[in-house]
Amino acid sequence: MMNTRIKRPRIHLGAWGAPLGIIGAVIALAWIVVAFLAPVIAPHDPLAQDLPRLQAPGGDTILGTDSLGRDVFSRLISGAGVTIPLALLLVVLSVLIGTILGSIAGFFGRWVDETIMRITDLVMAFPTVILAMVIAAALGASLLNAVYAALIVSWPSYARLTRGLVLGLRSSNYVVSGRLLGFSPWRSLWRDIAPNIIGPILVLASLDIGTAILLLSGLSFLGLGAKPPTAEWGSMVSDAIGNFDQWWLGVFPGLAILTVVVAFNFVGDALRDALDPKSATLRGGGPTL
Amino acid sequence: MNSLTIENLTISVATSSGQREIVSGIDITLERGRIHGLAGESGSGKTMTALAVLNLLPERAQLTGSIRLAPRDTTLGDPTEIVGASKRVMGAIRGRRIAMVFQDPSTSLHPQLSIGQQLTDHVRHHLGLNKRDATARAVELLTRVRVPNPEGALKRYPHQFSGGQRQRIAIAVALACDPEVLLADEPTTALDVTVQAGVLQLLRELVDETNLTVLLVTHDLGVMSAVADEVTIMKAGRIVESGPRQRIFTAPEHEYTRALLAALPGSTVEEDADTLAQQLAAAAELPDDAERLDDTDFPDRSELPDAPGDGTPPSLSDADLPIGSSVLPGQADLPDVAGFPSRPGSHRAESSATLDISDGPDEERTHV
Amino acid sequence: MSDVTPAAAGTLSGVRDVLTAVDVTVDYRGHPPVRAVDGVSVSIAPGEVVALVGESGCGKSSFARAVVGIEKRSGGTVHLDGADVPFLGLRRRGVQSTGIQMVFQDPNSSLNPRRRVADQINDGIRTAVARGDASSSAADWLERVGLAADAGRRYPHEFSGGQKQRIAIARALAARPHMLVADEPISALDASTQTAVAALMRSLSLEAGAGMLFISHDLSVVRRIADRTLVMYQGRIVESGHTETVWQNPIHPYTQALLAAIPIPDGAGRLPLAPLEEHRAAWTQVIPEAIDRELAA
Repeated sequence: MMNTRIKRPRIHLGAWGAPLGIIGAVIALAWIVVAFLAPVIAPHDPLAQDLPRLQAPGGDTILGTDSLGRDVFSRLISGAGVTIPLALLLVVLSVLIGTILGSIAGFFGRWVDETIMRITDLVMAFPTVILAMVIAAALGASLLNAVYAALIVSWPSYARLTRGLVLGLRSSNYVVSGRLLGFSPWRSLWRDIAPNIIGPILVLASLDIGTAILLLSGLSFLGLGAKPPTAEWGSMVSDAIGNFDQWWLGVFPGLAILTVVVAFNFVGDALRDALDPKSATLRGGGPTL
Repeated sequence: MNSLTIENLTISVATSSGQREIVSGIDITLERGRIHGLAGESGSGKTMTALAVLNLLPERAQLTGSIRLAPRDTTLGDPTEIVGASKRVMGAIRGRRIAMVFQDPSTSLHPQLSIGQQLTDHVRHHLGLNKRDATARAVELLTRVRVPNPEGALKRYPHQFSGGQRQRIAIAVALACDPEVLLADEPTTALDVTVQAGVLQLLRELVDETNLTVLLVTHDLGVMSAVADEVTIMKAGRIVESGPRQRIFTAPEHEYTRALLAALPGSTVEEDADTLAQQLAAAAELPDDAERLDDTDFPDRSELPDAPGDGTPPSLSDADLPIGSSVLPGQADLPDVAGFPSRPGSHRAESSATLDISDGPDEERTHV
Repeated sequence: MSDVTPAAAGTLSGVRDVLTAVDVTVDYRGHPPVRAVDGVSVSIAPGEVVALVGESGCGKSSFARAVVGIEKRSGGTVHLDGADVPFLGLRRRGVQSTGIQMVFQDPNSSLNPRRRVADQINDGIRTAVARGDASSSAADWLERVGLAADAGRRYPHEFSGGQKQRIAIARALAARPHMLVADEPISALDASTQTAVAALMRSLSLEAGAGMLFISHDLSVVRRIADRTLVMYQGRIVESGHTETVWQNPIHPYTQALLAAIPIPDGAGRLPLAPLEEHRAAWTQVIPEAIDRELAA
């Protein structure tokens, strides 16, 4: 009879990875909850200009008010509800587009590969933020256009990554065996390749959420994204520029961006360590005596 | 007379489920001028034992027992204890008094240093020779291992030689400082059988001519039969049987030894599929994800590939070892140049992506 | 059943060969281009085990891959049951061509790490059914290769290398191939199970009436399971024929050197013969009498 051992957990977290990853996950999760519950939990109407202007934090308005008499705290919460869901959407769409194109390029090769890769080269040749700015400006400043612009500059890295992963697996014995058994290329991609490349893609995606947030709030900061009076962190920071004495106007949105991005980065790092290729499925086995 | 004495050696490793013994209280005595074969399947602990002799085990492995290296001349003093020896003591032993040759000729040598450099560096470090003397010695070594055109070979790089030649060069590097003991871990397993014959012949000659002591670790009983004087069989960290080669092969006492010999192709082979299936089902094999020493135990290593598991925890692949055939300070850890994993029991694979045709016509001129 | 001339429709015994490879050539690009396989022909009948042996770089793997269609042939033809075996490009493999299956050397990459073992064997079963051949059950196959019937719900990483190889063999055989090509299938296994697994492969393919092309560098094992042996050197077949005849009375110098270099595990302390340079030159000879040797009278 076959010896069976208790399955070793596939995920082994390194010494530092675990605590940071968990902290990151908690913070990220908290922010996501805030984002989706924003309308409910904001104490004041984020758009209402009915409070005393430029009030320092304290009393009724724990984070102060801005130059138009709006509650910073409520705007912060509302802003979360704007940026975070859009950033998540952005990442999901980039992953979808990028991985599908990358898989096709990697598996089918030849002119399909050439075409797709030259397009990714073209897009990646430009500095991401600048290209996004140009596209957003061309489309006209709006949050939705900012998302389109960000999407255009974000999908290529997934395409590249996926193509590399697919190329690596395409000639694996088990994939070839599947083809010999009569699998169509699509079946091979779906059954044999996709489940085995999810790891690195997931890691990239989770690290990318932070980038997406920075990109979106950055575009808004520059006036190419969210339009006033929408509460958005980037534009809130932008508003704060004229009022440096009122430190709370810039610091809190800045801190919000910082904490969300860092939190997602910790999660991404922990995921990457956990899915360490040495212990991952493909390698199989380990050293022998 | 005894050159190396291993007494009650136990190697245990801290794993997530507690301390685990991979080698349990073994005794091996190596006599000067003889080849001692250490046989066993993967997971038996034979490679770990060899590494223990040079104190090359990872931090979390604990050794108890004794490994004593006798002085060249008994009048010179007491044997040196290796278990628990200081870095300084080990530094003077590794490469100088005890050297090692590994399985994979592609990772035994530094891919970016010329052969001459690898040989002379070694010799100059340990023996303090000047450049001219070191070069002369390098040529002498290459001649002894029968690498053709030794002077020209000094300037060439490892990838320009075939697998068999690289292994000979690795042996040359190992012997550069005239060590008393040579540890050879599956030195011919990755070589073609015609090439292997030449390397085995070389080993035998070196031992007969220079009174070298060799600990030959291999799973290949054919190799054992060809060159070993004494044979020790290991299983699951313990010694099953030990004795002169002839007796072990012709009159094995232990049932495991008999089973190993019976599994050889030369013995009668079962024909019936169902019986075979039952036999295979009964063979205890541990799954790949069983607890084993993995790459993280060797912090300096670069991306060496894993060897496939057929074996037991914790274990150590030949290719996973940090440094090639000689332990030089500062010699970088090597990526797997050839691009495919080495494993006991396999000859070099013709991989799907690359065809290593270059080794055919390139073979040694004099001996294969 | 010859190694050089292709079988016509029906040989003397009336049995048509399953696999007929004629003058197969495989070239690799490079400076200069490398000819890995230089005109190799072989015919294999159902229920026959033919071994292809040689050392690294001789081209045996390339030949195996060319026969199955995963390597492009630069010349020659390969027929399975009389039909051409096309190169496995982007198209789906034709149903008839699924009659030739392959077992690879590395057990660790032969199975999809993320799918249960039974599911993967079932793929093979489905292939057989699609061709109109008999169905079977994964549990049954697992038992036939010496694993527990309920092991099917496990994932590959829960098995040892040797067990994974047997699962890969089961999957290949579940597809009820007429021809099984095994590329160094036992090299990566523990020495104690190598012979048993090779014997099992022979047994199972014989039972299935399939032919098997067994690539190996290990002549001792091949001697045990192959009916005929082809010896390959530098892309060409230098000697071939009935296994025992080749083994006991090798004609070609390369075969002689190969056999003489094998260490015999008898405890006698005899060093195998190491070929000398002068002898190597003789290995490129062509000796027609060495090809297609029949059973010694």
